[in-house]
Amino acid sequence: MGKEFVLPATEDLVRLYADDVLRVTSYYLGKRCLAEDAFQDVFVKVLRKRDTFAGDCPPKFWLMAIARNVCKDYLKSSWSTRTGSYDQLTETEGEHTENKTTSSPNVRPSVDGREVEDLYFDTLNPEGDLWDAIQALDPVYKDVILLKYYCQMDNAAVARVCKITESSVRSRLFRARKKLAAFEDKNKTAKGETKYELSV
Amino acid sequence: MNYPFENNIKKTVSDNLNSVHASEDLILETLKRLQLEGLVADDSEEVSSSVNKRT
Repeated sequence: MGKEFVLPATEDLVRLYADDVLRVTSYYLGKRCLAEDAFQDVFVKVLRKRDTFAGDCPPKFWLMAIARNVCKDYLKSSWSTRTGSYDQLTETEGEHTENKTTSSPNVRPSVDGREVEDLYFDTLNPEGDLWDAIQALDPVYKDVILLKYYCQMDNAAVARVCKITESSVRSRLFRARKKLAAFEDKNKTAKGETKYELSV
Repeated sequence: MNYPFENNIKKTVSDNLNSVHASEDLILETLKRLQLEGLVADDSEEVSSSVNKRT
């Protein structure tokens, strides 16, 4: 079977997917300087692995997977270990985290007052919002939220990128939505609005 | 199955991520690095042209 998708020439590749790659690196890393360093590393890795692109998925999906892996490497670095993110990242495929104590969703773990200006998403506010809650999710949940809702992949594609089963994708999505719903309900209760009902 | 606030999640993620754009400087820096690392052999003239326009 021949390749269905092909990668564009180098400059076209960078220009075509620049925004998508930067969005992924900034989503995981937050800090502008780290996101931009990772951005360059993604394209270096993409070109080094160019010959391994099987052509069986859109190039964007392949780049997203590489970008995600590059960000994981960044999160494994000493910088992230100091901020505590890697403990969350290394949980065993995230299936046992239901009872795990997590930080408050409206507090991003790697943020302090001095660093806010260096962030891509300057959305911190005293009350917190849904974006803050998404940013504070464990990385395994951030993965599925990004791939499902931003990249608009179906569960099978998310499973391939994350190297997990479709059943695990559904499970992670359910848990991620549950955590976000709880956060939204808390906000709505505070504002006297109707709560979300989360059904299985 | 549709969840009540699935659209909220989708909109929040899209709105925030879509506000991020790679600058021309970042793109050119990246192309230059790729060139320096010898990763643009097949279309080096194309990339050289872009990088040189800036410098």
